[in-house]
Amino acid sequence: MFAIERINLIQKYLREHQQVDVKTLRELLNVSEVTIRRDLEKLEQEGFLLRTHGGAILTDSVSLVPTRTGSGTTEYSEIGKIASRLIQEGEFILLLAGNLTRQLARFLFQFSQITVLTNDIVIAGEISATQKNRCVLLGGEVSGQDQAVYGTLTLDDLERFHVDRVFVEVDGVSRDLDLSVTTQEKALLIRSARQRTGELVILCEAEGFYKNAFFSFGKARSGDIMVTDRHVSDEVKQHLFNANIKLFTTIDIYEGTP
Amino acid sequence: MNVQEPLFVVEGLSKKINEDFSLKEISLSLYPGSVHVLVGENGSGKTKFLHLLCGIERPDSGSMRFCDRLYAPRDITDARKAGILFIGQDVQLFENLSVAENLFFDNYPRTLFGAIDIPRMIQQARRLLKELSIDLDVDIPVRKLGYAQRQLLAAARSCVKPWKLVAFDEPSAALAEPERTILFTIIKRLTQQGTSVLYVSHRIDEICRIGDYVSIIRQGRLIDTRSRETVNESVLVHLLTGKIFTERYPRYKQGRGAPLLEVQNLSCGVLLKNISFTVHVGEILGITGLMGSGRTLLAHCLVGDVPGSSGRLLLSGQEVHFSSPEEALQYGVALIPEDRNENAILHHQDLTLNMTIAALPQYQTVTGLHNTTLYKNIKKYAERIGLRSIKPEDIPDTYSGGNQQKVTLARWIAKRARIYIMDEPTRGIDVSSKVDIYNVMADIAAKGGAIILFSSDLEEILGMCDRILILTEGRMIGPIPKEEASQEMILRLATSGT
Repeated sequence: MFAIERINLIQKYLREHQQVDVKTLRELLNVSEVTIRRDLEKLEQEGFLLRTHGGAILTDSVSLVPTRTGSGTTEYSEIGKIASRLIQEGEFILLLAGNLTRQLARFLFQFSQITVLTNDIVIAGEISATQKNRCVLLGGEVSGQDQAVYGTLTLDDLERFHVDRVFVEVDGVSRDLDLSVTTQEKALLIRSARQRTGELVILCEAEGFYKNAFFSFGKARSGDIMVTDRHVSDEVKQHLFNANIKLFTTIDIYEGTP
Repeated sequence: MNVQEPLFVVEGLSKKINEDFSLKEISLSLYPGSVHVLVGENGSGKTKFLHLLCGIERPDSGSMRFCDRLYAPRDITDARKAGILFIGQDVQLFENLSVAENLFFDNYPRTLFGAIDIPRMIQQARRLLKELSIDLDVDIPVRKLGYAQRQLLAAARSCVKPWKLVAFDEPSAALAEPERTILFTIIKRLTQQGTSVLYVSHRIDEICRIGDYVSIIRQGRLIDTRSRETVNESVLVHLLTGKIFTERYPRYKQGRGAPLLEVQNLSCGVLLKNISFTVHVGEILGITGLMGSGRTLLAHCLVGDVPGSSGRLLLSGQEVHFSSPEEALQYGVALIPEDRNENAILHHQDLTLNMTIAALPQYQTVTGLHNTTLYKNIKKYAERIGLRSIKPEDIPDTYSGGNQQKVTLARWIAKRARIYIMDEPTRGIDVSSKVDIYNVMADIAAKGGAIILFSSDLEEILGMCDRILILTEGRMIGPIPKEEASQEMILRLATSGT
């Protein structure tokens, strides 16, 4: 089979299923894994798909999660991809509404037995669409701005649950590691969620460092985990390391053996 | 607390030693007639601090006041003129001069005419040594003395003339108990004269014996200063080891896969004896040990770089034999050596070659190298591993240590090696490059590669590894799972010996 035929088939399959693993492709195309990986790599470079561990997902359109247009698209979803590696099968996680956590939700199809608690309607839709993991949607008043629920009802509802890990997206991390977001209800919700978990995972774009959004919900503490893109400044890397904070960047370089 | 005026006041002294280490804002007061002990682990910056005090090195910032005057020594002579004597770890004596001459070297008793009064010098030397109960013949040359005797002689020099401050740098490290007692007599005598003593040590028992005050120094920072009454051994042990930071190391939680590389009964010369261990898919296996424990030798043995080693190597269950690192690489086993500048970077060659030398056949076409793909890949790897503002025609010789290490790593990743043997991969490189390299390591492990990490940085070992092996006198202890390991435990095992 010619490369172009294979590529067309992969594209067709992905448009129909949104995701694919290498094993399925190998059976479908009857070529070696190396060849498939090379094809997927090519398609990733074209921006058609995103490679995951053992497979790939479609980058755009069909998914409920809108991808951001413009230069940063790949980085944006790569933060979600890296954050998804922090999850283990069978865990209970809380995803608080945000563009980066929505990206993270797209990578959850690799799992089948996790329980996701969320206040984000888009994330709930994404997870129910893959029919793989369990999703619990928090109640509350729907905010028109970002398709998520907030307010007293949500805070009360949250009290019923305990989760292994909380994923939040922040808009600003100041020089003294103060974490901030743009709305008050978001800050309140994160503050409350933080008390209900052992591990806080903070997703933040590189541009968010050394900036302040208006509503602060506390400082990053030793033991917290941060995920950002690999273009983050050396100063930030050094700063967080010295503050005993685990920093994952979107260094995604190892390609396995031929 | 002390109501006296301090003799010596240090305020906010800082000094950058290298990329990795600096003394940070050290403040300290020394009082006349008291012993101030400075404790800290190896490499915590104790000796460097003394060097600043004695003018051997100059601080970047901060100030010192001595006898109420600003004190900024340009060299050790300045310090001596001010009344500060420094007794270093390797004592400076004149080999061919006699014991008496060494004692009085810059302070000879003189006759009326200005000549050295030899009989008086010998008489005074004998009296001094007797007072200190040091059993030495004052006429013999110093070259005939043993190490401990020299150490005592150097300490005795502090009694010849009234110094205001005497700084000892680990004087007791090589002394047995009788000599230690003599040393402590000397120190007692100094304090009775009103001399202030600064004593650097890493022995906790000494603090309770001689110290009036104790300061704990850790990673270039002065953590705490206390008077003797407020400390005991267990408090000190706690302060010394302190809280170590192992949470900051990026590692994904993951299960251990199938055995990937099994080492059975590896021996080499007298240094390595019957070493056996297994590294699994997705695992980072840590190997640590003291200097000279055979760490580096073992790393080189694993890739067939050392002739004359024996033992079996199984790769995914198949027996393999590597006669050279090139052969190991064919099987996907790569070594990232300790001295990257010496052993990994190809000098006077450009980045292109440095990064792709191992993987060149992949770019081979009938008409030569496929340069478009080659450059595209170099750009990709450089961008992904965090090498910024670089060009393919750069000569990596001029790169920082961190960037050189990234080039080496990228080279083996481009070759698609599966098992990475890393010998001190982050030693002496800047913190941000460390963070990048840890992220690469986590990435390799997450995607089914394996890493054998040789390191003397215990935080790194505890933070990055799944299991830890300890090499001591050529034997292997462990593996200890990360959850059970602690800094104290590893140090104890590494120094246990046989």
